[in-house]
Order: sequence, then structure tokens, then C-alpha cells
Amino acid sequence: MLSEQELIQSAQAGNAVAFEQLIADHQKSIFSIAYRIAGNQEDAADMTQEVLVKVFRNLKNFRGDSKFSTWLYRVATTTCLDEQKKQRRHTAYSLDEELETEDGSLATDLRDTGPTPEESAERKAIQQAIHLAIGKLKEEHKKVILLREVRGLSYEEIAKILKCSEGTVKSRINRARENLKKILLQNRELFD
Amino acid sequence: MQTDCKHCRDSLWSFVAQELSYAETKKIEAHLQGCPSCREEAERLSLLVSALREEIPLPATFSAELHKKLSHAAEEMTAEKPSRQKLLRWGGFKTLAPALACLALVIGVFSSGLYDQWRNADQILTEPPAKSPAPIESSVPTPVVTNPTTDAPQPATTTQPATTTQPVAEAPAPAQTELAPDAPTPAVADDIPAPASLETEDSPIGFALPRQYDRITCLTLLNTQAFLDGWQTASGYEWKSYLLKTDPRELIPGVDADATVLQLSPKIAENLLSFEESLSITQDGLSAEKTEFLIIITEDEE
Repeated sequence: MLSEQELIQSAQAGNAVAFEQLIADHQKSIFSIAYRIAGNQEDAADMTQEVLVKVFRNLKNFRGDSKFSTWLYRVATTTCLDEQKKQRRHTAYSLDEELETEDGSLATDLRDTGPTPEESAERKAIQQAIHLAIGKLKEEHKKVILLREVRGLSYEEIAKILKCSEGTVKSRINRARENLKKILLQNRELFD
Repeated sequence: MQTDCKHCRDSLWSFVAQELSYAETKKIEAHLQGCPSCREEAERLSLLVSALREEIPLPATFSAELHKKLSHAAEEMTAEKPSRQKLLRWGGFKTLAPALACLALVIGVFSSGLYDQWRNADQILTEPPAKSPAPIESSVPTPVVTNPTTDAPQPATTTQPATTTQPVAEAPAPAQTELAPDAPTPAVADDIPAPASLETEDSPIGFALPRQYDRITCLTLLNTQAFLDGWQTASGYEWKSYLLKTDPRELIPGVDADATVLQLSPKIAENLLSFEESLSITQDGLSAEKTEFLIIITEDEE
């Protein structure tokens, strides 16, 4: 079993298999972040793969000044949010807009991953509402919400990723949470 | 009671996320027991927080698709290697990428017929009569180089290795140039020395800007975050310039008003993935059809 450092060196030399092992523990988390940004699994998968290919191509620029995961999440959040900006030029969503399917349910992606159809639709509706609400946040608030609430990183790790102080991270997280609460809990039926 | 509710609501997310101290947690729990309204709010928030934390399963085909894309990328990178070695003789991609972007700018200027206009207007940006720019002998392509001895602009060339030579070292003491007698006063501050980090061969950027951009290189970028936010929305970017009050795209004749402006400082360039990456992110993020770039090297503020 190669160490992280050995995997990095091998991947920097162009070994795709080594890179896949290197990011194996992180790809689910990056996908979860991408899902909140993209709003559906298909786009989130494309976004995640794009992030990882970009990371692979640019791994030679990782100098080891920080932890690999710090560098990875910095790249991942920036790239995912760039993708969101591209998407937003082509798609207009509104939190008030009913995104109805033929049977009238409030979801854009009815792929069934939950135990029952009703629970699945409800979860999907909540995730869609989260996606739309996150899209309304300021850039700096999006990043802290994604890294703290979705990825579960500590203030210290987030501060390193965003290259700011822990105090700044805490303050942004408080404001981001307030804004997210305001946007989401207006739609009380979704969370009752 | 109302104060307790306000305090409770302010702390509710941290409570739900289990971030509070033991004592604070007990206080909130005690309040929730006696307050149905705050209890309802806590339940909704709990649903929200767990939805945010929910790990979304990867699609079944994800790993196979990723493997295919990474293998393809690995093949491309291997194929690029011989060209890379050739490139390294020319100073490496970090040296040449800005040069290539400048070349795109040059081609745009020449092909749009704005060269003459630029040449005439270029005097706005040259040094005041007491000083003149050192001729740029670096073979990094330059839109126009005003040679103080011949007074004739030299067309850009790309045939020589991109190594910076003597003019970079001479930058602190620029040679004389002459403005046309009735040339307008340069709209810049006087005596702006080029940032020291550009003048050494050890600079991570590795090349010298054409002299007429030296003043613009003194645009100050406040911090990396401003840069990351700024270049993603170039048209709305607020110029934090203490020297120039104008968007440089307006100031430099011949530059498309919609040209993508890429600002780099040596420190930022180290922290970004790579110049190549930032260039591609800029292209992808802003407008795929844009090929004209204005590259500005700045110094980080202390």
C-alpha cells in the first residue's frame, strides 16, 4: 500500500491509477459538494469528474506546502463554483418557481434513491431547495457552507483552504447560516 | 422569555450541529422543553442540517467514466511531453503562456487594423521626456516596442527562446525616449519603477512585460481572494488602482473593450494551479469565444 506521498509522486508522473487511489477517499465528498451546486446527479458527476481531471493535469503544481486535501478542496470548490456560473448563464431558477413534473411533484430529478417513493421525492425536494438556496448566497458564503456543512471540515481547515483567518471563517459561517435559514425556512412545508 | 428565544434562535444552528459547549447545550435544551415555537424551529433546522450533511451516493457509472477520462488525460499528457521538453528549452510554459496570450493580442490588434492607431496613441503611455524605456530584447512577443534609438516600433517576433536578457536588468534605470512635442501628458503617475520581482530571472513569471505596460504593472491587487473573485467577473471588476483611474482596457489603444483581463502577481501565480490553468479557467469561466487577453502583472500589497 503506497503512502499518500508516493501516490502523489506517481500521479505527478502521469499515473492515472495512482491518482484514482489518491482521490478515492475524497471523491464522494467532492461529489456531495458538486451535487449541492449542480442540483442533480448527472451534472454533479460531470462537474466532479471535470474537477478531478483538472486536478490530475495540474498535480505537478502541488508543492506540498499544504496538505494534499487542503489543496484539493481549494481547487474543487473554486472549479465547481466556476461551473455553476457557466450553468447559470443558461438556466434560470427561482426558489419560488415550481419545478413540476408531469405528476405535479416538486422535483427536477426524480431518480429514486430513497427507501420509499414518497420519502425519495421529499428528500429530492429538500435537496433541490438547498441547491437553489445555496445558489443565492454570496460567493464567500457558498464556499464556507459547502466546506463546513457539506464536507464537515473544521474552521482551521477551512481557513487554510480559503487562506483567511479562523475568525473570518466563523463570521462568514454565521452569516451564511443566517442567510440560508432565511431563504429555506420560508418554505416551511418542505421542512415540516 | 423573548430574550431567551432570541438567544436560542441565534444559537440554534450551532446547537443542532453539536458545536456548543456542554453548558450552552443544556441551556438551549432547557429552553426548548418549555418553548414549542423554538422547538419547531429546531426540528426544521435539524432536517435542514442533516440534508446538507447527507452524503449523496456516486452514480454507478462514475468510477468507470472517471477512469476513462483520467486515462485519456494521461495519454494527452504523455503526448505533450516531447513538445514540453522542446518548450522547456524556450523557458517553459509558464514563460511562454503569457507570451502566447500576448501573441493572440498582437494578432488581434494587427488583424483588426488598429496597429496604426495604437502606434500613434502609444505615446500616451511612454515615459516622460526625462526617461525612456529600455528596448525589450526579450523575444517574448510584444505588441509594440518603442526603440529609443530608431524610434520605430518593432513588430512582434516569436522565433527566439523566451529568455529575458539585459533589458530586464536595466529596467530600474530606463533609457531615454522622446515624446512627440504635442503628445498628450501620460495619464499615469511619474517614476513608477517596475516591481522588483519582475526584474530577476528567478521570477516565477519569468518574463518582462513590454515597457509600455510597466506603468500598468503597478496596479495593486489587494489580496488573492479579490483576485479569485475579480477575474471571474472581469467586466465588473473594480480596479484597485492607486495610479490609474481607468480600466486599462480603455487606456491601451487597440485592446478590445471586452478583452479578458488576467492579473497575476508572482505570489498569486505560485498559489494558483498554474498560469495555464488560470488561463483555461478564465477562458472557460468567462467566455469560451474570447481569445484576446490583457495580461497584467502586479505586485501584492504588503
